Formats: sequence, structure tokens, C-alpha cells
Amino acid sequence: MELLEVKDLRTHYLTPFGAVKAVDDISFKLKKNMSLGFAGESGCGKTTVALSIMRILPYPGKILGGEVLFKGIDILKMNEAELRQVRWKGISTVFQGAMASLNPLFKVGRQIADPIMIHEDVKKKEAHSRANELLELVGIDASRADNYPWELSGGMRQRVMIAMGLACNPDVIIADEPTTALDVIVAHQVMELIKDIREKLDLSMILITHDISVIAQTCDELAIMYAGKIVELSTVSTMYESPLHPYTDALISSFPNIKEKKRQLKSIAGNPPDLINPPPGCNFNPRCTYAQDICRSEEPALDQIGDNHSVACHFWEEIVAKR
Amino acid sequence: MESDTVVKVQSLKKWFDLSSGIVESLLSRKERYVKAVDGVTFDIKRGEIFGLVGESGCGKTTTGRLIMGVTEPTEGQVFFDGVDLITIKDREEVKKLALKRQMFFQDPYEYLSPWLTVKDTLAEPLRIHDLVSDKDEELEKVLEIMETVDLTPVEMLLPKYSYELSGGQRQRVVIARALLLNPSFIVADEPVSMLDVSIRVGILNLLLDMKKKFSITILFITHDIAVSRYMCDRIGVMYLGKIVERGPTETIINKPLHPYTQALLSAVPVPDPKISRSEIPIKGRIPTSTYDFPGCRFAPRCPYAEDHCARGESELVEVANDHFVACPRAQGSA
Amino acid sequence: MGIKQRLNESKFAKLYKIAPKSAKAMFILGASLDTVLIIFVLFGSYLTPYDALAFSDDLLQPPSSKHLMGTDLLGRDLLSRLIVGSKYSLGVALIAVGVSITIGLFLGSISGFFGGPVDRILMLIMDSLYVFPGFIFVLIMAVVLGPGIWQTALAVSFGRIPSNFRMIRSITLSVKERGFIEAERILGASNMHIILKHIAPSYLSILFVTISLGLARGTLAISGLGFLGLGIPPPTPEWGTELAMGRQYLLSGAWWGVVFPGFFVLIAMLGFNLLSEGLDAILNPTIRRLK
Repeated sequence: MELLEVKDLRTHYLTPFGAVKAVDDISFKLKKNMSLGFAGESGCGKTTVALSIMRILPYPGKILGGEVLFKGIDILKMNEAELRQVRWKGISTVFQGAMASLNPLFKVGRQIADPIMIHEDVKKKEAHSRANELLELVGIDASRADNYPWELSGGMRQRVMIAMGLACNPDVIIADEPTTALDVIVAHQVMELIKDIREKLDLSMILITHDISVIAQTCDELAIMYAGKIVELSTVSTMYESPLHPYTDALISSFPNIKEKKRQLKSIAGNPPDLINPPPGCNFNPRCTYAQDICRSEEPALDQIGDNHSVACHFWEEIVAKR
Repeated sequence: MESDTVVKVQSLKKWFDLSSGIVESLLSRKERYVKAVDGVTFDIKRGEIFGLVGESGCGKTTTGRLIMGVTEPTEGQVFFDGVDLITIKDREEVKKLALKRQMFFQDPYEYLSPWLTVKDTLAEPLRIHDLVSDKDEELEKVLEIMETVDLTPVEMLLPKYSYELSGGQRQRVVIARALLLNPSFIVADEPVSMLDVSIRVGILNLLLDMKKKFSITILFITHDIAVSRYMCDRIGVMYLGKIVERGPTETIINKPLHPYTQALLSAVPVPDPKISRSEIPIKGRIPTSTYDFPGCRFAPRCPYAEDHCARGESELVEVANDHFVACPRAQGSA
Repeated sequence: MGIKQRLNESKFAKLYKIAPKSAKAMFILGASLDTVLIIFVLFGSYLTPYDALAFSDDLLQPPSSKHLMGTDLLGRDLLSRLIVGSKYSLGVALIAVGVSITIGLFLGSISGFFGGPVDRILMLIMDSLYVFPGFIFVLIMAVVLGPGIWQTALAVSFGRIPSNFRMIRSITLSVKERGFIEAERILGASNMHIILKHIAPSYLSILFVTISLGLARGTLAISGLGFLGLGIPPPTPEWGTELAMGRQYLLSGAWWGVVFPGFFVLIAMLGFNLLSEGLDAILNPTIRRLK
């Protein structure tokens, strides 16, 4: 049994202007001690996937179908009491913009101790001592537990968020753009920290980001999302050696690689689609250089073609042959 | 000064006064400043793209704003086409400068007027400087620039407001608006940082195209050293208000001499899982720029710091052809 | 102006569609009441069943089929007087609002945009005026300026100048810091150009609400002055003065002399307050969070 298995998840935002098909039939598996990266442009639905799994969708989002099996049990069918057992203890999240997520009125030590006290039957003293341990684990001196969020720098606040995410020893941690707002060097330190912790605690991770370079350096597997769908899913090394989907290839080519020789970067023509009225057939067809008639009428399914490699494209074989 | 230098910056400083209110300035004699830019010297040659690279708070944006004249220096000089900017005070002359020197910004949404359509946004610079004689000529020029920056389909986009456009489209409007005045020099302040990665390349390639087509000199400000490598001919790495290393981009990327530059390069994520990064052990975080102590400003975090580093600051010294470094250790070993 | 109108029209239509029912209801109800009143202001003299100033022999008659709202001491039809009274109670309020908004706009924008000593002096003046509760200030100005239509308009306008000034100034201050203003400067735009084309549009969203609220308060202020014997003098049929007259005969049972003038004031207040609340709710939608 997989640790986390998502099947045909569908989440739409029901706005007065129409239904925004943010997540449209997404399926993937997460094993124990594995890290899976979700990459894609903003608006492709990756954050919505995280919110759906945790069932914390903002209005007017609604999960319309699918299953989210955590240790075999469907989260989408749980009631509040059961959900409370899963949130923080089974799966926890670290969102971007830690500045907005931390309560400015409470000391950070208290904010880490809170979920411990709520989700586990622990006294205040023990919760606070565990909070101090967690702070040390993320590289912050325990004496800073008495600081307020505004007394800490951006990097430190992000670490506090990570400590909070780890507070109840979850099996899975979902990190949504954990380093986007941070400077390069601090971002690097935070990602190294996350890698370190994962090893120490045997943690599985879903990393959501638009920066595939970060995923390349920290994740085992990678799912490329486009307009609410997964277009390619495989191990990171396979994806870089032989990307199959045209979008994956274009995405990888649009990142400058500082270790390589300087080369011309190719841009992807067009704009991300309107999710209220996505194009018929394959969502990517208006921007795809290989699009044929069938691409405009029939949506390609996510086919498993290798041991750990799936792609949703009608012509992947021909495209690979041409390259 | 040779005529192939467009911008020359000399010992430029910009200090922001932190003294808060009457009570504190009366009680404490010590004045506190944020030394955003603390003695920067470089020049930008005609036709090149010069990059200012550094993390947030290093002073690169402030330097760009000083060169644009949006804010005035505390000390030091900015020469534009040979003329000291301080001497240009007449309103008419300042207005004429707009025709030579323009700017792109990081957040295109914030820097576009929410009250104007694309057409009016682009027509405005033409109207302000009386560059067209009638509405037809105005529309013609607007359509022309939209085609040039690939802001298409034109008919569909003309009547739209900025909130109806995508990030990439907004940035193209900002670029088109600046290019309409035919400037010879442009400051591009993080023009792609807020855009999606797949859109970034389009804008970067557009900038390179425009530079070639219109022979524009560009000051490219970014925190992303990988992008600066793609765009810039020469770069200056900034830390806490000063340039710590400066020279041709390829040289610095391949052979970084200053420990901060080395740390920056090692921290950049590489989109290739096979390449692991060599660790440069660098401690702590960027301190707030109320830099107050004598000695090298990087010393507290430098893995190679020695006693003399805390005593005196190091100046930029040329160690190879056009490659400058402000670090005695690097200067010694080069 | 055309573009700004177009911006407001299309934006308004979009916002109206997604507004909650309560907001739409308030807006429509308020707008309807106000339309009736505005018609009275403009065409009142032609709509009256009787001549508002004509005496008759039906002295102090209670409401009947002949005189829907009864007559006053001198036999004048109360309904006619109150309809014509709209011209004064409401019409003068319109003038007062126009004056106070114009002055508030002018001084507020200059103060906010240029800052410096001008700003400090104006703030000092406005802050000291702000100390007076609105109506007390109006009262004092009414006494100082004396009775009469224009004097009353001016007095009432003073009541709102400090708050209009503050509001415009604070909007100016916040818009001034926005990026696009700096971009305009870099493009070479002059200060006047920036204020008129890039800061002024931000006033529009609160202007509608300010006007309707100002009308509500202004009408009340004028009626209040009339009631106290100040402001617009008799025989002009202003609502407040009618109320004052009617009060004298209340104890002898002539309730209509008090109820109906009060009713008109109530309708005016209700109409403009509903309109401004409805407009505000439509123009500034809050995102409701449902579970």
C-alpha cells in the first residue's frame, strides 16, 4: 500500500463567471521516504492539489470527485474528527509567504507548541520543550522561542514554519514554494535543511514550486503540471535525460544552467489557458509546436510507458525520435 | 571621459536617515543610517549590458534609482553622457532626459496606471513630449511598437486595462512604453523576477533583441546570477552597499574570486540532477544594512576571515584584465 | 472624461451582477426614493395640486381627500408646500454638497500631493475645524452668515469640508506612493498631468458615496436650521420651518403639521443613506468565506 495515493482528483472553483477547472483528474502515488516535486507555471493547479489533499480549500473551491487515499483510507470521505487525526499528524503543510502565516501576536515557541498540544495529549511544558527541540532541528537557537515573528528574518520565519510542520511527526510534509520569497543563499540553506530533516526523520515530501531547478536538486520524482493536468510524471533523472512531453522539454530549456556553456534559451509561445474555458482536446495544443488535428479534439490520457514514467501526449514517440 | 561611456558612477553613496522622531534625535547623539549604497564606482560602456547582481538589501535597486535620478545621492556623482546629473535642475532639461534614459520595473502591475487602456498607456509618452502631430500618427506609432515587442493580437489588446492582462503582457507594455521615447539607456530592475519561469525567457530574449535593434545600453539589475549570465556582458556583484567583484560575466562565473561571489554561485540551483553543488560554507544571514563597524563588511560571514579583515575595508583592485575584486586574499592568490 | 466614464460603467455593470441581493435592494430602493425627490426638486412647482403659497379658507384642516396632507394655519395645502419645499431643503443641500466637495477636492489633492508647509498649514486649519461637531459648526456659520438661501448653502457646506479634505488628502497620499506615479515621472509627466490623469480617478470610487451621504446630512442640517429658526426664512416652505410651525399647533391636535414634514425629512435621509450604503456594498465587494 502506498503512503499517499491520489486518484482522479477533480477540484473546481465555482466563481460567478464560471467554473475554474483548477485540478482536472489528477492521479499520482507517494511512497514512504520519497520526495515528489510538482512543477508548473502559476495557475496550473499545483497549490490547489495541496489544498485539496488537506481539505482546506478556500471559497468557492469544491472537490468534485476522486479519492485521496492516505494509508489506504480516503481523506475526502472523512469527517472533522477523523480529519483532525490526519492533519498535522499524518500530513502537514508548509506554505510560502511565512510572513503572512505566522500570527504576529504570539511568540514563535508558542506557535510551534500549539499544534502539539491540540493534536496530541501533551501538557504545556512538554509541548514547549518539544518546540525548543524542533527549533534546534531547523537550525534556530532555542532561546529564540520567546521572539515574535517580526523579530526574525525571512529565512528564520520560514524555518519556524518548517518546525511547525514537523511538530507532530507527520509522515508526509507538503511544501508549497518554501523558498520563493527568500534570497538565493538563504533559500539554499533552507532546502539543504529540508533534505537533511527528511533523511533524519524518514519523511516523505511533496514539493510544489515553479522552479524546476530546486526540484532537480532535492526530489526523487517529478510531476509536471499544466492547466490542471499532469502532463508528465517520472523520476527526476529520467525526466532530465529524456523529457517526453513538449511542455516539459520547453520548460527545462527555459532555465539558464550556470554550469553549462551559455546557450540560447527558447521561450514558449502563447499564454497559459483560460481555465474556465480550456481549449478542446489537449490543453497545451495552442502553444505546442507539434500539435496535430487529434490534439485539438482528443485529450491525451496519462499513459504509463516505462517503469516509472508516464506522459500525456499523442505523439511523444515521434517527438522523441525527431530530437 | 571617453565618449563610449554612457554612465559613470563615482563613489556613490545613499544613506537613509533612521532617526525616529524628536525624542530620539535629541537624546542620542549617535545617528543611525541605512547605508543602502556605500561607495560604488563603475562605468557602463555604450552598447553593453552591465549587470548589478546581489541579494535583497544589497543596494542594487537603489543604485539604479540614483542613476535614473528618481532619488538624489548623499555623496558621490552620477555622470550621464558626460554630464553630472546634479547640474541638471531645470524642469525642461529634466524632461528632455526622459527621452534618453528610461526604466523597466519588477512589478509591471504596480507600474502601470490602472486607469488607462493599453492604447492610452502607450500613447501617453508620445503626448507628453509632443512627438506626434495627430491621432492617426499616434495610433500608427502605438501599433508599431506593439508589433515590435510582440504584444499581439493588437486589436484585442488595445482596449484592455492592465488588470485584464497577463504578467508577461503587462511587462511587454512597460517595455513598449519605455521604448517609444527611443532612449539610448535603460535601467532594467528585475524585469522578470515576478513573472512565471516560462514567460521569463520570452521577455529576456525580447530585451536582447531590442538592444541589438535599437543599440541601447542597459543596466540590468537582478538577484538571479544565472539570469545575469544569460543577459550581461559585464557584471558587478554587490554586497551591503558595495561592489565586491566586477568584471566580464564569463570570467566571474567561471573563476569567481570573492568568497561572497563563490557562495552565491554555489547556492544557485542547477536544473540538472546529475550536478551536485560544491558547498561554500557561509554562515548566518545578511545583516541589516546599518553597517557600523570598521573592516570588511563580509567578514562576519566569510569562511576565510582573518584578523586584518575586521580592521580595514578592502578596495576594488584589478587583478586581471578588467577583473576587479575587493578582497586581499583574492587579490593575493589571483 | 470619456474613458473614465467607460471605466466606471463597465466596471459597475460587472460589480452589480455579482453583488449580493441586500446590496442591490438598498441601491434600488434608495435610488427610487431619490429619483422621486430629485423630480420634486426640479419640477416641484408644476406637480403641486395647489399653489404652495396660496391661502385658502380651509384653515388647519386634517388630511382629507381634498387636501391629502391637510392644511396649515393659513389654509395653505401642506402637501404642495412640502413638495415645493424639496427645492429648498434638498436643492440647497445639493448646492452645499457641491461646494464642500469642490473645496475638499481642491485643497485635499494639493495638500496630499505637494506636502510641505502648505500641507501642514491646511492640516492645522482643518484639524481645528474638525474639532467642532458637524452641526454645531454649521449652526455657528448660519448665525454668522445670517438667513437666506446662499448663506445657508455656504454654512451647510462648511460642515463637511474638513472631512472631505481629510478623505481626499489620505487617498492622494496613498496613491502618490504607487509605482505607476513614479513611472509617469520618469516618462517626463508634469505634476499637473499626474494629479489630473493618475490620481484624480482614484477619487471617483468614494465620490458617489460621499455625495449621497453628504446630501442626507445636508438635508438634515438645513431642516435642522429651519426648525431652529435659522437658515432659510419663511414664507419659503422649507421642511424644517414647516415642522417648527406645525409644532405650535401640535397640542391642539393638529398632528399632520408635524408628522408630514418629518416624514419628508425621513424619506430624504432614508433614500440617500440607502443609496450610499447600497453603492458602497456594490462598489466594494468583500469576499465572503463559506465553510
